[in-house]
Amino acid sequence: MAGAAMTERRRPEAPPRARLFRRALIMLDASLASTEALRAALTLLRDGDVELRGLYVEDRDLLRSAGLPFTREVGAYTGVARPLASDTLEARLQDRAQLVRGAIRRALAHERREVALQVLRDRVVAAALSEARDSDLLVLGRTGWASGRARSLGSNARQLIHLAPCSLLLGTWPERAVTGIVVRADEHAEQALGAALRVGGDGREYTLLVLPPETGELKDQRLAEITDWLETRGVSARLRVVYPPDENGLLKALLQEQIGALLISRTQDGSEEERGMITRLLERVDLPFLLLRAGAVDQPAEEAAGAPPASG
Amino acid sequence: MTSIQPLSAGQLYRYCDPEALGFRTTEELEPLELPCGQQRALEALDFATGMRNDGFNLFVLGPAGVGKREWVQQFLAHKALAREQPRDWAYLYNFDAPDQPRALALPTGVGRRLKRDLEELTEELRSSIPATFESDEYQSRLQELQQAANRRHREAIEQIQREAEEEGIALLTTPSGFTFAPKKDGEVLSAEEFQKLPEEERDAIEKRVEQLQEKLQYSIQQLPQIQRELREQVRQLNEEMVLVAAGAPIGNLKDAYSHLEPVVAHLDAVRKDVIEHVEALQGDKHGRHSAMEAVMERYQLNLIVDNAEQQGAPVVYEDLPLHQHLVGRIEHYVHQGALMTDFTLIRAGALHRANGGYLVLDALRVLQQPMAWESLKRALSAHTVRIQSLERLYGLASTVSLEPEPIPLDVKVALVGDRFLYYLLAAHDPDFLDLFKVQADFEDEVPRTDESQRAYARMLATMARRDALRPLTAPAVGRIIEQAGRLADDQEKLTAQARMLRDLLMEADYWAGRDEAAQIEAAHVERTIGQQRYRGGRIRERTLEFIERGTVMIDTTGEAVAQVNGLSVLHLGDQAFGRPTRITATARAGRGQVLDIEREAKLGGNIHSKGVMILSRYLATRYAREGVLSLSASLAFEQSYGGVEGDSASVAELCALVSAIAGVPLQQSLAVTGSVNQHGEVQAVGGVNEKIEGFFEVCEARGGVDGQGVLLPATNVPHLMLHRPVREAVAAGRFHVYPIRHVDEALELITGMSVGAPDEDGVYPEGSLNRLVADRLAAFAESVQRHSGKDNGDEGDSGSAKHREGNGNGGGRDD
Repeated sequence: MAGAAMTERRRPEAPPRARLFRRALIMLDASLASTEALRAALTLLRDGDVELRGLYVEDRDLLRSAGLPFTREVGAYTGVARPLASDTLEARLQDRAQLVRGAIRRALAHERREVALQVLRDRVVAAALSEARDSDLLVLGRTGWASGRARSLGSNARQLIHLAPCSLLLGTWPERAVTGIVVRADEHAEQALGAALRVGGDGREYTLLVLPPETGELKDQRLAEITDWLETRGVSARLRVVYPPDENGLLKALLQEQIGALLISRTQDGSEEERGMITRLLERVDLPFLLLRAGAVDQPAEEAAGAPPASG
Repeated sequence: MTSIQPLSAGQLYRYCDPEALGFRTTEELEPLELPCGQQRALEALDFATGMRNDGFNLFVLGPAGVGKREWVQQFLAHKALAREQPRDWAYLYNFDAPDQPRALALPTGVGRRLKRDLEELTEELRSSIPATFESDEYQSRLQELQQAANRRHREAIEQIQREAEEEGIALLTTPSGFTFAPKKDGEVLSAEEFQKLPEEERDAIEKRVEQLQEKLQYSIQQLPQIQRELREQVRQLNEEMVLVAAGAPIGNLKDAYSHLEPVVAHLDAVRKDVIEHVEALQGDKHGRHSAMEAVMERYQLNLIVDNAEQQGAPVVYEDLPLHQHLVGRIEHYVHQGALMTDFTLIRAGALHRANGGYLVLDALRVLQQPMAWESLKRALSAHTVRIQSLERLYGLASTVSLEPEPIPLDVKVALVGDRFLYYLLAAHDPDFLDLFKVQADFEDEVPRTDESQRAYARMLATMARRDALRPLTAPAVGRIIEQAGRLADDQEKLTAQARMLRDLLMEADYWAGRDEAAQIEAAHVERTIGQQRYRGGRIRERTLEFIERGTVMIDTTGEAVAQVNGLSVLHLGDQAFGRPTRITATARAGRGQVLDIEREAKLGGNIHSKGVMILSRYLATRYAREGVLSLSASLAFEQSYGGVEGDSASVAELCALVSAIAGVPLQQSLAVTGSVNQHGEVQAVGGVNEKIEGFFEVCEARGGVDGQGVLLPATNVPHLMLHRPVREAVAAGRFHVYPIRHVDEALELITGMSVGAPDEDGVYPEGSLNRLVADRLAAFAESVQRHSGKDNGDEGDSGSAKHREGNGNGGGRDD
């Protein structure tokens, strides 16, 4: 195609990273994991004009149970049982809220941004789901307070992977690391990829992990299209087809490619099967993880319309 | 009056007949493997090398320049060929104590092979281990193990959660753990709601919650055990995988070195270490291999002594015997600002390289280097080489270092030095004679016989070959032998100064090259000798010039009272030359004192003083045997502004003194050398050739040689090796060399008078020299007696500066 031959390879002008997400909803509980998640959100959204909201949920069930005469708290690490009195728990939760505020203050010490903290008395998952919108980025630690020594993924995180209607950032987000972008090789691959690159930003090393379609012929075609797409945008990224296209294949690729951060980009809500795959993967590998709902991210007009890139 | 006959020209020199050497050029000669005329030293070397007992190390002593070190090395190299090649030595990483590397002895040549094999092993491990651990099989099995462990723990809690849920109890997360709460209709009961329940139900819930809590506690407390089990499972998995990656290559090496138990032990340790350091050995694709390399390095062999290509035992010469060059050293590298080291940075010293053979060292250099002598002695005493850095010995460094296992030492050390050093060490170092029991003493000179001349010719031929010089013709060799005799100052000796001979040969070769000659001819040797004399002759010529112009007053004709030509030698660098010196005397009445002006001016040495004392004593004994020597005399070396040492002028001084007392003039055409004893006998002195030649040159410069001559001790005649001009003048009767045995002979020759023998009453005959002396001394005695009432001493003479009746002192000049 003559037009394609005339295509000048150049990096697209840096698109505005503002408004990638409408809002970041950061689940905070003063645990180390949630503090790291807060920092990850600030890192990821450094250049964007995104509203930052912190959400600290005081567990309603826990407060109710604390009034019972026989209630004991069993230490997550030590296994030691201690009394759990209602007034004591109230005080501890308030202390936690103070700690959350302190964590926010420290995280923003050299920032002009603000994080508005909202304190709710509810169940954590329910509160997150009721607050989150599809264009939000929900940020939380991989584990919560009582993560335990063997738990790589907390129950809240697991539930939100399945239930969250928006993008999801789990754990930390390193400023520099080989970032694996997982896209499915379907007709929305370029859109998912474009969104992922915009979220990831410049200055990163990317490895593109493509989950192939089942048909071999289609696979080659899609791969060729993705390669063209990358080339025409001057994007330098390793491309690897994940086989088998499941958590095992992904895990192998992550290890072999020395991936330091994982970004799964999709244009539509994933199936239960896909969410299960992600959960199983994250239980096996402790990587910073961003599940991107590409459809909800603001798109440049021509990309959203599937228009060809700028040509000279 | 005795008639002393001058020496003939033939007595002044010993020629070397080229025909008698038996060859035309040195090309025909076999090389000389051992030095000629050094039998004593060679036998000592042979004894020391054959003696295997402790402490029979060698000290090779002798004058500088005889080629001690070269000969010793050559001798030892010859002996070493007959001995077995020593073992190879290496250091291995000590997995039990990393700061104490293990020493490993290996059969000769095996070290190199083992080093290569271990390098290949690590190279193989570098690729096979990461590949094995990157394999899907390993990764998935590892994940399975981890998952299983996590699952066990998680499921235990989830099981409890399920159990609780089934019984309407919720498992809730608290800020630091878990708690259980009863539920009703999906909602956790509050305290008020709970209290509304029937008591039985409350009790049941409470009991159940308690049971669940206990279960949960138990499950949580099982986690460390689960993790321990996981680690063990991972270790077993790693071992299994390592066996795949490293088992075969390590096994093959173990088979190949099964006869070397330490090597097998090392390979077992490597295998174990690989398993323990699996994570480091996996490397990564971004090139960060430092951890892997750090681990792999430990499997290597640091071969410090490789004798694979050694023929026989080693002969090592360490020309810079620093402590660390002797016992080895441990190098360091800088890592993050700190000095670090490891066993691969251990470096061998000369003792390691010479182990099983011979080590040749320059004694003076060893003694000059800090701690080198002590380290050498310690190694020889302990029969081990222990590598320890100098800075640690002195406590100057506290960096991380190593203590390598000492290596057993079996070495014969040959220290090479001069005699003074040997005797000094023997006197002051109590360990020295325990450790260096054999002295190999090289001669300064070798006897000159027909046989030794032929051996000398072979030695010259060997030198010429070794230095790739032109061959020498027989006349050239003859001329060099004559020069060797001159250097030895003896007609019956040849110098053993190999360095001088080598220098002479090389320069002669140069002149031969300038003449485009194929061989070194006698003319080239002659030219070399002339050039060497010319190059070093500036001061000699200036001295001669001073005399020629009269600045330095020397008479070579006529007569003078109380004035004689003494002879002295000046040594400047490698050159020496003789020159006449005017010696004068004064005599007057006094109390038996001979004043040595040189001594008084602190220009005279002890030997010169001794000479003056002896001649004073001789005078007193001869002329005042029964009475008091009423003489006040003085002696001086005129125009001498440097030091004077030696007693070779004592005959000349005696002549001047006798002349001064008797008022008899002395022949200025004669110069005198020789020392005198208390009986008037003339004794041999040194440097006679230079002295005679020095006076001869002065005579030539002062208007030609015509009847002049030199009086020298008869016992010095065998030492004469005079230059051709002197010999020719003697042959022509223009110059004379008189051998004298008694001072009377010298006096008769130089005064032209009969000395005179005393009669039965001790009275000398009328007209004899002794009569004149005796009469004059008698007059002095009368004068002293006349003045004894008003003068108790010799005005102006201080007691310490005088020789009273021969008990005086004196000065000296170089002879």
